[in-house]
Amino acid sequence: MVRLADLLGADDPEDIAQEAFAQLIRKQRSLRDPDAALGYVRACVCNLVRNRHRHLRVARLRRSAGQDEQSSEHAVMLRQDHAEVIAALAALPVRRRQAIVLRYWLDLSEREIAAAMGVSPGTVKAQVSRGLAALGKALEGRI
Amino acid sequence: MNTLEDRVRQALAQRAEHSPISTSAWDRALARSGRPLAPRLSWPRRLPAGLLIPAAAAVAVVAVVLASLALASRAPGADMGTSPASGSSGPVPARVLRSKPAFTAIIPVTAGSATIYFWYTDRKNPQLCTFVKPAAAAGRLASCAFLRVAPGQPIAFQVDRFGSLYYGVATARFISVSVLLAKSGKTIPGRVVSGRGFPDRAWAVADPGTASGWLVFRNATGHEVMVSYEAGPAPRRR
Repeated sequence: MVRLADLLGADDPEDIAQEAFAQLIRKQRSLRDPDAALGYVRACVCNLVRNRHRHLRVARLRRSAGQDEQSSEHAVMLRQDHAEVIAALAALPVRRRQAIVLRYWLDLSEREIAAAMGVSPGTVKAQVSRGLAALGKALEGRI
Repeated sequence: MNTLEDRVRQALAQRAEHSPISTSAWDRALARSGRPLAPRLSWPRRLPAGLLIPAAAAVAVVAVVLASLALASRAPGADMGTSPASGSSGPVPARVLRSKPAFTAIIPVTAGSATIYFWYTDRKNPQLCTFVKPAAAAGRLASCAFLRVAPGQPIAFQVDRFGSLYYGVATARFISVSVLLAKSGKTIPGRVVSGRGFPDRAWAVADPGTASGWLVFRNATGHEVMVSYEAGPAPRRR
């Protein structure tokens, strides 16, 4: 979950993940299906990241500074082409980025992604498609 | 040549391997939420396998509290004082809890090399009870005191009998505490905690052992209140 929050662009992915589990524990009695817990936590992470992007302008500014510091570190660790993909991914709108990460990192189905993002499967399909198109455009000429 | 989808998959997988993970994240999450998680006496259902490890990490935080609550439910009995490490039935010895039964949760706080357990006894005249488990000492000490925040004051505090901790109570608006050393300007972080039934928040920091400095308390908006301290045993408020 920390990694998911990080890939979704959270400025503090550990806190996001921990808060998601904290919400799970607080809501455990209202979860009738134990198998729904994983999806619930995943949806919490997506919501928390989205809320962070929407409302914490200061946090976003700090994150931008942090990413600059991190980028030099990861420039060493990531292969160049991977770093370009990650940079292009970071430029996508939040929902589009979420759809891409959930689809291509977690390999979730459209239905599972829809549940995590709180949207319809059709929207997921559109977001993934547009996200890939945007990534392809951003990476055009760098391949 | 790889397709775009393959490149995205590979890039995400490699990026995920380098995601930062901080060991203090849980403490920060609790501090920001303003209250610790209420312990549940029953964890009702089986979790999916993918959740077991992270969930175990989260639940481990409240596991100590659950064990302590079980002890607190026993009947009253013996007195308090120094108790040997051997023979104790949990973090807080059962005989301590029989003497000073908890009507609140029991909250552990680690500060420096010691762990201090907070709870309240005597619902009519609440006393803050502490049980200190220093890492390098042969015994453990328990005590209870009428430690309350006076009207108009932000905190009340004292030093534990080993002289290794400052601890006390604070009003609910404070979420973090640290010690600011006067000479070096160094900061030593502590913890502010609360628990089910706590009338005030409890806090603890490791005694820096310096001649002078400040206890710095912060609220959720970052506002600070600084309280000067002096080295050596503080006056007890019994």
